[in-house]
Amino acid sequence: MIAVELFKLVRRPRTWLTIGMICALPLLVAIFIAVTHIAPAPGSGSAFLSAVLNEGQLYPAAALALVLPVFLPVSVAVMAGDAIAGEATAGTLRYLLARPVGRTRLLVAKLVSVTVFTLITVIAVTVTAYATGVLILGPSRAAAVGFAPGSSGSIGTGAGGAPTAGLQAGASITSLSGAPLTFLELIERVLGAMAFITVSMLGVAAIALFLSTLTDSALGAALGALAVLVASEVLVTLGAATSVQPYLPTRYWLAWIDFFRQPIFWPDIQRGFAIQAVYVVVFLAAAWANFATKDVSR
Amino acid sequence: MLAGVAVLCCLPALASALPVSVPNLTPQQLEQRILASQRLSFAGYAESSANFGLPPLPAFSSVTPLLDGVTRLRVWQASTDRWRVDTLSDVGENDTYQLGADTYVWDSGQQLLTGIFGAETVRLPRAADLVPSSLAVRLISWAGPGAKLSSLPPRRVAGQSAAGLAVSPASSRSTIARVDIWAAPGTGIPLLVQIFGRASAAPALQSQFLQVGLWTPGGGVLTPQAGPAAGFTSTTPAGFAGALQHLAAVRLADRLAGFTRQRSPLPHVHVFGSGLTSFAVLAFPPSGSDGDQLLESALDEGATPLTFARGAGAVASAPLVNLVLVRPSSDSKDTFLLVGLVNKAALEQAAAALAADPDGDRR
Repeated sequence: MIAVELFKLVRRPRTWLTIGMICALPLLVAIFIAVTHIAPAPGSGSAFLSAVLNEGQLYPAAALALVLPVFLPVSVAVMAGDAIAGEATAGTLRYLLARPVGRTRLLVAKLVSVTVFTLITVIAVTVTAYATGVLILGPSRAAAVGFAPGSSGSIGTGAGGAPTAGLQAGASITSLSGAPLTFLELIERVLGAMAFITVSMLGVAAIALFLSTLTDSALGAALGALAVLVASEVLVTLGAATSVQPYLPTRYWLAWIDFFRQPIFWPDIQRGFAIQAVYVVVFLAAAWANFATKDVSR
Repeated sequence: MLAGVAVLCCLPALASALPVSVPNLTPQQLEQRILASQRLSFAGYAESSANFGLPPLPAFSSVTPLLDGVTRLRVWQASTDRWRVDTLSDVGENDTYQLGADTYVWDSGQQLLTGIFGAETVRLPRAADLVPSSLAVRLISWAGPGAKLSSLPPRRVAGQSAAGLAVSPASSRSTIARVDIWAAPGTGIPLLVQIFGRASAAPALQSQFLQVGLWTPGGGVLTPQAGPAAGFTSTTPAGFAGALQHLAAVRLADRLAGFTRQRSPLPHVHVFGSGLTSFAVLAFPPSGSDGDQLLESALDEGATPLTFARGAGAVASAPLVNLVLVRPSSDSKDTFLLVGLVNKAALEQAAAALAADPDGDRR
């Protein structure tokens, strides 16, 4: 059943069209920045975007920050919302269940399909953004006024020598905390960010999948999930809603940025994983409870 | 299933409701432990929240964000003169490293590490001042021996049992009604600081450790580093003082509105009163852009206009801080900024006295 759903996923042109459109946004932004050499002012715009002119290898992180707020959740909500309701709308759900396949297995297969879609999308964005960053924006380059106090790239107590340009041996990019990261550390942290974003999208998928079992309208299920996310985003910025903010699905979405601090700032990453796990478990259980007893007529 | 969700949602409340147990300490004993905790090495994560609503004066753009909203702070301290405080945001961070007398500031947005070599005699408030440990020690020191100390019921903070200490300033002219501090009774590390103004029962400023523990310094965490594309620049404390570097040196009276002037190491900054009942007087010359724009900016941002017999000004009030700008109409073209922890009436009285007799003879 899982193999069938995965085959359907990769065979559908809309899957690749969606992924292509999501990857196109960072490419478009990179072209504009490379041509004009105008990056957002420090502290404004998406995370990392102000730094990519100097550090093209950081563009995967900037690209993830670009697609995370809207493009990625919308595509995941549409895919998950379509999972059950889309079959009902097309009139194929009844035939699917007529096969000797349990409803639970069908639900799990749909979830795996959405998960794989999310993973492919995040990987595609990361890989294309890395290529874009290195080829269009260029690799890391030293700042006009850099410094190399000794060979370590760090300052000892009382150091006050004249600044000189220089790079730390093996350093690839600059972390958000200023400390250099090696290429290996960069890979590890990008992988961590990809895992975190994928899990964050699973929370969206679980909500949309649950709504997909409630209605025969795929559009309604997707919009319902997006309405939950929009409401969550509004409450996250509302001071009066402080008491409920730790439980909102989007509260820790941006915590993946903490992978790029030195040392890594784990508390919000851990809370983000935990809250998404709760959403996934609760809404999948609700989806299963509803779907297992649903009267399927179409 | 709903029961399971309810249990999950209630876990934080259940954790905070766990019984707390602290040794029996007098307020004075707890105060001493808090002051002694400065020498400990610890690391943690804290958040401060405030809602002052001060007008966003361009000259103090680095200060006003600290007093509005939530500031997320990551802290490592080896000793009082060797520490690091990171101010985290969703798009980057600003870090401060203290290495003896030298300070290093990292700005991830600018990709710039700035070395400030030499002791900072005077500086603007910074995020590191909001860390509960340094905030509590500073408030206790400012309150002085005349402050009234009392115990507060223990509570659970950052997963630890914390003993409470209330500090009330001796003077009724202070904007601060009370400071509540909860500290780990064993180490004395302050975990939660709440500062109450006189107009509201809710704290005007709160700073709380969400995670904290003793820490063995190491791993290069306290050493500022600059990556491949980062820039480095060095400056002096005067060069990094922001708006303070444009101040005019003026001579002021020894007393203003009943407040006595403190001895100041700098002719540019005058402090009247003491501790939690004090205010600073800064003079901005007309030649600097700050002096020209400060009053106009304040009025544009909603400060209330003031008219004196010999001058004009503006006043802005916040729960704990009052701020008065005054431009005397005499020969002196300086604009005076009076800012501090005294009530609005006292500050306006001081401003009127300055407008009447600015005594702005240059040294």
